[in-house]
Amino acid sequence: MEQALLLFTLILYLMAFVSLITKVKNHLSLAFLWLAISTHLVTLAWRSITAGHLPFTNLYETILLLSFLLALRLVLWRRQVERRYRWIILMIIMGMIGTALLIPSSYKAMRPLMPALDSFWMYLHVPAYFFGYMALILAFIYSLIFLWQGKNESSSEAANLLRRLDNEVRIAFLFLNVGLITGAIWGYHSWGNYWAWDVKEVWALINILTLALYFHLLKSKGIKKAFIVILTFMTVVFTYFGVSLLLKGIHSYL
Amino acid sequence: MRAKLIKIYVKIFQIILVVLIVILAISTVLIPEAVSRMNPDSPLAPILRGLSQDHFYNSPLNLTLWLMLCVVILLAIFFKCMPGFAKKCLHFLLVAIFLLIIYDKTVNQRFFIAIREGQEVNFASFLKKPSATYDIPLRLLKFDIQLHSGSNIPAEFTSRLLVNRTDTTVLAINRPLAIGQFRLYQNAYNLEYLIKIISDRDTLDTPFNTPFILNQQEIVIRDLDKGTGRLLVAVDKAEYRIVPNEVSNLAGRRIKFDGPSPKYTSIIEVADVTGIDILLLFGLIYLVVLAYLLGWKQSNIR
Repeated sequence: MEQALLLFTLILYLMAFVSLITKVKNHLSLAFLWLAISTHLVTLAWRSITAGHLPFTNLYETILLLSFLLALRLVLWRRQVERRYRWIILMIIMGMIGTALLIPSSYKAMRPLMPALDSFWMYLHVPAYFFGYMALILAFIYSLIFLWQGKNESSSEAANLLRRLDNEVRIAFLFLNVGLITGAIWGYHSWGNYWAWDVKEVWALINILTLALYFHLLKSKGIKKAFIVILTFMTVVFTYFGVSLLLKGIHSYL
Repeated sequence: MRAKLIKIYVKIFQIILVVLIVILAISTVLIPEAVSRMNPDSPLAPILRGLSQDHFYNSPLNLTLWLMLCVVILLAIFFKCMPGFAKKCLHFLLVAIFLLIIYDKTVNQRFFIAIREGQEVNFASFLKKPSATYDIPLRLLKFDIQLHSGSNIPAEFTSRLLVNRTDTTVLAINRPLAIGQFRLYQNAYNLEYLIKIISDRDTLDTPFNTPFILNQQEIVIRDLDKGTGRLLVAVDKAEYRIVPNEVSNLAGRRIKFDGPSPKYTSIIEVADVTGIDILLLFGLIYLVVLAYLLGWKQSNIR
């Protein structure tokens, strides 16, 4: 049932994507997008009800959550994402849902919550991180476009892109910090240790330190900003996938 | 002059940040024990040891880098190289947070207590400086595990403790117990099969393969022969097969071996939490100031 719902969601996103790139009426693409988000939400709700907890606990569930947040951002804060770049975000969302459909079933298995995970703080810590990741994906897209276009920073188009980049980086930085601090409070309440130098904790700190460089540039050059965002994005990708798949730690929930 | 100072502070800040990022990243992929065991002739060995990669998190290098970061931030604040009150507050809070973490990690005690069901321990005996204030007996009355239905994954595990021989309390994950400046956290558990040894008026609970002395002789209960139901007991290297729950003559005494019966050992993590509540409060205030600076203050974000 869940996989069927997910496949249906993917088809709806695909229809929104096709209507967007073929430049048929704008409201048609938006209608498909709303429909896709609705079925996406139903899939998440279905998963939550059958698993007995919100879908925050493994790689598969968080891929569904992250793609949902991206889609939500696309419809609720549409003006922040220019129309001509929306297809890229839709591609990423479809790629994520495709990955969720194709990953081995062992990664999708529903497991009951470990006692330490059964905490109020989980419901702040995990969404905060994924909200931050969502903004960082958008910042990464803007950075690539900025570098790809290679336009003079004083041009209105480049300035507009940099303004959007600034917005996304601010959101990402704030929510990465919220994630880190709520995680520390959670750790303190569960284990009496707010910071254990666990691999994932260290990489979460690296994400923030790297992005902190963005706000501490002597000359606010677009090219430097773009490179810092790309570097941060790479560290986040490693934190999300690499730490779970390659390194061992208390946060290795697959 | 001020512009020059700002330039210097920002440059130093950037350098420390980049060094921290690189060393922290390396520390997560290297196993400290492997670095310690590295061949000294290897060209990488002196570099990795110089970067304290065999114990980076507890190393003076890690401490120095964070302290340098604090000093640079404080200098920038006090020499008015940081514009805006909110920014000053934010960075001051960061320094306070870093210093509190350094204090906690270097001064505050953290240790584990393992208590077997029925066993009593004295809390003070685990402290670096035992004090009469903490002369508190803790007895594990019962350890319980509740499993999620249809799985072997625990939903909850709890230790029912008798504190000070008067108060019964339940310790569980996410439900710590406070004793003065310390907080006790349910961490893990072990399950052992114990044999109760009753000899004259003495009783002793012992696990398999753990030697104990009785009548000046070393006794080890090796195994339970599941076929015959007898215990394999070694007395000074001579082996005997003993029927459990019956009185036997062994080591010159009349001994009864009862069991084996399952007994849990609760692993409790104890942390000195002096200053931690302030640290977490600072963390929350930091988030509020950060949200103000990054969000509400920037009109173009809305």
